[in-house]
Amino acid sequence: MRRFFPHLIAVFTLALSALAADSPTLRQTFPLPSAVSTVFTAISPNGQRVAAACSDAKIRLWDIVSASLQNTLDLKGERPNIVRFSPDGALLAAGGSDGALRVWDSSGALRYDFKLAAEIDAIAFSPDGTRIAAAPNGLPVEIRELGANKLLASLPATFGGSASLAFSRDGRWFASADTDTEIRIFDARDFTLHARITDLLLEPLALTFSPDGSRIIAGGADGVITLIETNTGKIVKSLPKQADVVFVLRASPDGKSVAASYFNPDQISAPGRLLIWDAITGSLRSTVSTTEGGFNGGDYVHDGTLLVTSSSEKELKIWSIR
Amino acid sequence: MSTPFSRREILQKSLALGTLVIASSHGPSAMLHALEQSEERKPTPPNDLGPFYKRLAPETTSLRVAGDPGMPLAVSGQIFDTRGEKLSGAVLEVWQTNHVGHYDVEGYRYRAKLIADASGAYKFDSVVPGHYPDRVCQHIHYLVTAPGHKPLVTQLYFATDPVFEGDPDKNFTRDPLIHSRELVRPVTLAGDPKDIIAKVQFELCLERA
Repeated sequence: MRRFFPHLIAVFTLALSALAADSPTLRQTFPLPSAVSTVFTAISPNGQRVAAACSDAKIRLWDIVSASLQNTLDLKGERPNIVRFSPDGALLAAGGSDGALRVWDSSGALRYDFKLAAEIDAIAFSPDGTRIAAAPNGLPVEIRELGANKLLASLPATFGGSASLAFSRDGRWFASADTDTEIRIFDARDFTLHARITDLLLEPLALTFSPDGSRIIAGGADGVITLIETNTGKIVKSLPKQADVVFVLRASPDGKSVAASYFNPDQISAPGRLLIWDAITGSLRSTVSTTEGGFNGGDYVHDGTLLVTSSSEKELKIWSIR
Repeated sequence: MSTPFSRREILQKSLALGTLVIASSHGPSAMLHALEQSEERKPTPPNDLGPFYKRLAPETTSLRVAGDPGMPLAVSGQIFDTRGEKLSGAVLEVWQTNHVGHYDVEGYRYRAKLIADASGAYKFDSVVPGHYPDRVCQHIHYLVTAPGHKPLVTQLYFATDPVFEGDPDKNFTRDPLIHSRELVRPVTLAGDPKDIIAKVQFELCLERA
């Protein structure tokens, strides 16, 4: 999915027009090498590091506090499709445009080097960081046991693959947002299918669990964010439909907020929007829209702050929203 | 290393030289015909599903309705498997943008479900799709399923796409999503000068499950 919108995440121009309580403040600025821009980023769960997939197919890892470049990593020349930190921040994984799946430790040492059969569209770490799930385009999701360096499970094939994967934070559940429009919930202990959500007509593109694992938050091409009860697979709430497509979803650690980025499918180069929803009531808390640079990633960190990144040709900026 | 002879040429030479040992009461010509009837085929290259697939498309062969703007388009083809057998009853789902590159996600315009006939053939009428933002080439999405076969997700491209500048052999990689020249199909124009229609043939081949 990401390859359809290679510059998409670079078009969310950061806007400082949010409600006062959620106004972004600039946290850090990182200069970029000449002719290099960042395409998308991942933030470590403690908010101390940012990993950026760059236009030169490198992944640059910065310390946010000191603004120092820690490492420059790569996928053997493949374009990175996705970058994720493990929940404890000890590992960084990246999936590439030709199937490379690499995992580095916090020192930048390459710990695992897998090769999947197709471009990797999504990856997810288990909460204890011992397992990694990856979705090769159009092929079954593969789950690997990192310590044993073995394939643990290969999920049933769906005709287009999966756009987003997630483990619940208690390690009980695993879910996939699949291109056949279904959301599938698996028991993460043995990866048996627990439930299928077949109510959606269009593809779900983003998916995450609520912090307590009781709900799945999903959104996609229909512009609707759907809250699903994990245990039953029933949709319990649908947030107000937007004209734009939901592309990324992040749940706050207290379970009260959901940050969602959207894009206009007919004007992909137009500025997208970041909306922050009240996860309990389903009401809109704030809209973050914009002017300069490009909002190209972000996540909630342990203290509940939402960190987002924006990129220009010269620099990467980190903003915080509380 | 690839052979300089096609499968047909090899069969003809083998039959002529008597080296193809098949117990048969039929002559060489009939044998060749029979072999060609079930000629092995290469599976159609897959291509991305894309983010705008929508379930439950209506069963129709008319994606275009009277008055629709854009160049009328007629697409037809046959569905085979890798053994060359025609897949009667194969189900195709096709979806595309309108003539200006807009996908209908609220409804089902330019989306259809088709059933291959007894000879594995299918056809539908539409318009030549526009260029979707952020995609280089005009394209039509296909999802093809048949019992006992792997689902095929692919896309049809047009050799007349201006992006190729008249030379799709050389320029098909201008769209980074096109990995196979095979998916770029020739376009012929038919009809009266005032009522021109673009025609495309797109055969599809599924792998057995």
